[in-house]
Amino acid sequence: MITQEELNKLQKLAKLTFSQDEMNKFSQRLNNVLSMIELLKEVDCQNQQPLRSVCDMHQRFREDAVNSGDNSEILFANVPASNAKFAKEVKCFIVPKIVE
Amino acid sequence: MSSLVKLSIETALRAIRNKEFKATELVEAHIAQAQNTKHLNAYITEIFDVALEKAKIADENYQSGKARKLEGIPVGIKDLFCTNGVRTTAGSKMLANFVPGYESTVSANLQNAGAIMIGKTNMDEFAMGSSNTTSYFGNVINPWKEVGSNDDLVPGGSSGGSAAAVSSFSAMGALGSDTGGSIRQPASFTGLFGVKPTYGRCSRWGMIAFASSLDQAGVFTRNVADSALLLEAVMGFDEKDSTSAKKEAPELLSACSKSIKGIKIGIPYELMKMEGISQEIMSMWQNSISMLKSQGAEIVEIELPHSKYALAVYYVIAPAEASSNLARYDGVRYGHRTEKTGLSLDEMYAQTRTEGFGEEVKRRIMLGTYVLSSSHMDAYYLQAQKVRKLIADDFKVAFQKAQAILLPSTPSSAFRIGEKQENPLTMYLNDIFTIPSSLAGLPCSSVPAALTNNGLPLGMQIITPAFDEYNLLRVSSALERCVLDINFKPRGF
Repeated sequence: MITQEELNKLQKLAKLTFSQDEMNKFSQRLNNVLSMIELLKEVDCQNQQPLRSVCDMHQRFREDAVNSGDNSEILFANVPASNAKFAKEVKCFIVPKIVE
Repeated sequence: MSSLVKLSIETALRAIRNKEFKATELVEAHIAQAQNTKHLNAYITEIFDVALEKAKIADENYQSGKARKLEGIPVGIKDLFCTNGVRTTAGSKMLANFVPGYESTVSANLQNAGAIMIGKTNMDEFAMGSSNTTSYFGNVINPWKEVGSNDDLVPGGSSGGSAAAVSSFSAMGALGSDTGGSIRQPASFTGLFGVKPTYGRCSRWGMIAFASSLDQAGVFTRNVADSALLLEAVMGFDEKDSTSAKKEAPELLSACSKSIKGIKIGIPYELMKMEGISQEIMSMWQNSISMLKSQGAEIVEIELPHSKYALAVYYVIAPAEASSNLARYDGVRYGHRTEKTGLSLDEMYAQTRTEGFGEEVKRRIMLGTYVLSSSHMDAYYLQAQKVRKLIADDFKVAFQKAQAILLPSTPSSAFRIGEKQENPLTMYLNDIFTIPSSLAGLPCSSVPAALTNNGLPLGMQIITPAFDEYNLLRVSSALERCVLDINFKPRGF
């Protein structure tokens, strides 16, 4: 069972916030799913390797070649509206102040 | 409704070449049908003007003898594929205003072959769902109704808009994506043929990620041969996707007329004993076995002993990958950003994500974060990857005896909107037959094979070894030929 304390920690890690009401509803649903997942523990996997590649593929390498130029117009095209004008002007993404 | 919308892709292409009608007329007929079926909510974004412009170019290409393979064929594209200059939302408030500056490889391939996109189809938010009820843009309505009832049914999900568009004749085919059954389940619920090729066959570049080790593009059409035509266009190696398979994509159309005499079809008989399979599903399964036998197939028993763990494996791996993939939505560079001011950076992230994601997405992010957290990673994530390997190995053993596997696509027919909503577990059970092959990355399809007593379609699933799409379509076509006398069009269409 997932505890209230764990849920609080999880929402911080996941960068989400829930009201107490939502949290109660949510913890019950999450626990339902977790109890279904518990089934996995009955499989003996002591000497079993995990699946590492879906269709026995190998990592492909490529030349480290430059293949695109200045595409800042595309990169800044979807900046959220409140910041869009300034961000495009200075070609920087705008975030809240992080240094006092 | 124009009779042009009822044609198969093969027939329409032949007719345009023979100058029986123009590509413009074909596209216009489909736009009119999309307008007449707007209440189904199959499209999030319609681009009729652009489609008509492209149809004129298609006519010119026919005129000058430069027509491409799918020139002038109107299609729907799931709103999970980034389309250059056309809003792409993934069914989420988070991306409600996102207009990509580039095109996904599969949608580019389809359009470079001459197909014309008429709109972006509705879907469960970030492809998380089996009923198309988690979309920020409202649920999709299945064009099918039960005999004697007018209740709205779900089209299945997550590619519910694509399925509804093709089965209601506003598109001749559509692109979908399948993570745990998101093509096969809606295909089964709407009487369509749906196919997901091998993991690695279709590039994932430009396809908004849900669970990267499972996501694979595929197509919906009203018959198998039409899917062969679309798949031939979209499959293929892509430098831009590191998991793209460097293999020649096979020719598929000839598979659709090839006999299945002598082909060995494996049946996992132990799954027939599973609880909760309706009598109708069982009899479709048994009938399909006899029909394929009558076409010359040899039936063999196979075992998939670890399949019973597939759902549990999936609900560890898919949320884990999703929680990681969806970490990119932070409101800084694109997507929704909270309008609240005076927040710290961390508070801005959390507020943006809380506002931008729907309930199901948040639940899966939390679940994924939990199974990946340091104290639970070994018990859940690592254990799930080990059991996933056992499931994949079961298929390898089965394919030493059989060339294809036959089982139902879904445990039931389409259900009412709102049903199964309260308990996510009952909703998740929809994917019980489709998840094992997804975990193993195998090519698989859903072929409409029966109608329930209430007149709703049901599909049978075919699975073949990795990269054997040829036999997948060969067996699918054979089954399709056996059920030609069943009408897989929704009433009133």
